[in-house]
Amino acid sequence: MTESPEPRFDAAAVVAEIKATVARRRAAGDYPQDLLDRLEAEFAPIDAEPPLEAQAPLETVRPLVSGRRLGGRGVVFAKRLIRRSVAWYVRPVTEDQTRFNFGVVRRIYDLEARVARLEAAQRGGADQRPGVPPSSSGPEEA
Amino acid sequence: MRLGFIVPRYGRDIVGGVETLVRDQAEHLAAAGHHVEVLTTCARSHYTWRNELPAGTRVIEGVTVHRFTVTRPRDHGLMANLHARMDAGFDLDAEGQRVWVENTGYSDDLLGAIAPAADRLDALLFAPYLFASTVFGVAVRPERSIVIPCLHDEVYARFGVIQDALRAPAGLMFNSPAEMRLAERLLGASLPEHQVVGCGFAEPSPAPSGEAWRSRHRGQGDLIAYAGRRERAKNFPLLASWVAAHSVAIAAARPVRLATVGSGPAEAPAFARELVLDLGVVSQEEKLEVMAASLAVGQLSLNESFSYAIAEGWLSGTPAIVHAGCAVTREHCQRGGGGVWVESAEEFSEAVSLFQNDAAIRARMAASGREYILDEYGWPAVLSRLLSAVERMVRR
Repeated sequence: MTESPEPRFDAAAVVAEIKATVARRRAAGDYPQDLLDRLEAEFAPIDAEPPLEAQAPLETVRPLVSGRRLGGRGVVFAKRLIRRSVAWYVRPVTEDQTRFNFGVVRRIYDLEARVARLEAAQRGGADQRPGVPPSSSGPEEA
Repeated sequence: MRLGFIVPRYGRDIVGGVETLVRDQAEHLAAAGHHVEVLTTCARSHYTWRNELPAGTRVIEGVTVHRFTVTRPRDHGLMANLHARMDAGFDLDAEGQRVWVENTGYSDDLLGAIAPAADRLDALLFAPYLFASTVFGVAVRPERSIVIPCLHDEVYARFGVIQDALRAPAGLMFNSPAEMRLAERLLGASLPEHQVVGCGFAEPSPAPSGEAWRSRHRGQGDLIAYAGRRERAKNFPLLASWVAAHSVAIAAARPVRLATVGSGPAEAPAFARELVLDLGVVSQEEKLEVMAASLAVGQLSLNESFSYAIAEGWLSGTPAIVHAGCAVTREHCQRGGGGVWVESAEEFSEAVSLFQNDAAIRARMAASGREYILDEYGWPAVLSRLLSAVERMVRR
């Protein structure tokens, strides 16, 4: 197989044209920014994790489906029946877990903010006294 | 030549790129006069690994298929815990990695059949890289083994147990140059002998007719086609969202719908659901007709080692819209000229608008992609590369 970089059709030129159109229309405010911001928050960057608090609540209700061609409706009905019959047990457990998740997420964010403040203070101290190492005791917590 | 494929699932109705690749290669090699056997499990689903097909040997389309029962059922609770750890960014230790692989259709009987198969066949070809049949199977007779990894840039590709399995065999066969470069990055100098072989294609006969499909499904308007597993790992919800962004917000006067074929629940974000036309699992002929009836094939997956969908789109006369972040599909479009790569909803929408407004450029891009796929991945070229690679990598 050849690895020739020569394309048969110059798709890169079409992509460049698309990018130029997007840049022009963005500058003109042609795009619905609310929706695009929502999409950006949900999907981009594609491989990034969603915010921790978005993952904290546990869902007990998921779509009920069946891959069976015959009797699929019956299977879905049975699943729904089972789900309802164990809800009294499952719901409090998931509520406890969700409360715990949110608590942990809150503390992680508090710790992140605290570390950020400490780092900023340490950098500020070092910037103000070039050549002098920061105090070993560190800056006082704000 | 006498060849054996070892693959966790095998069958005409099993959806997936790897499964299609192995089935196609096995059947074309058999049709060319080679003796081909397949060692596989009785499972149809890579979620449940339930033994759904009968164990035993039968000949399917000239290929001798030996099915073995999965002997270690998937522990769903354990796998959920392992995935939760990985999703939170924690690494699995060596034991966790081994247990994870053991929960991917492990069959003692299949592993036990590998040594006798190695004795009666010239070479064993394992696919894909991350399942128990490959990871533990390669260790049985590595000198007679070749892996077709179908590698993705994902967490499993960094498991020590899996990288050991990729270093062990006599050779590796890749589907695309971009996949080969990924393996070179991951395994460095310890990569065994390797070559790009690829998936094979032929001109569809009869030529797929978009008009025929539209005459059976009237009033669908402009379509973007998606074919494959409808799951988050393939970025299906993102594709549905970008179709909705185009149709509801950016270009509401010229909306498009997403015509999807394949397995999985086709779940889309709430605001995109009405635009998803769920056709489910259809015949190969109908899939190509859906593509022929569409403006473009949308493929935003980042986890591709080849992408059958965009190649089949080109053979149906339809260009592709792929994600700029996927090295494999982007390279196909760059080299073949058969599609555009985008990285935002706005770029996706402009690409759709371009194809809506300019039929000539659509036709030229699709023709360019078709020429590329038949030149570089036509069956004669693929089988020739495969057989010469086997000869070179596995010498009796």
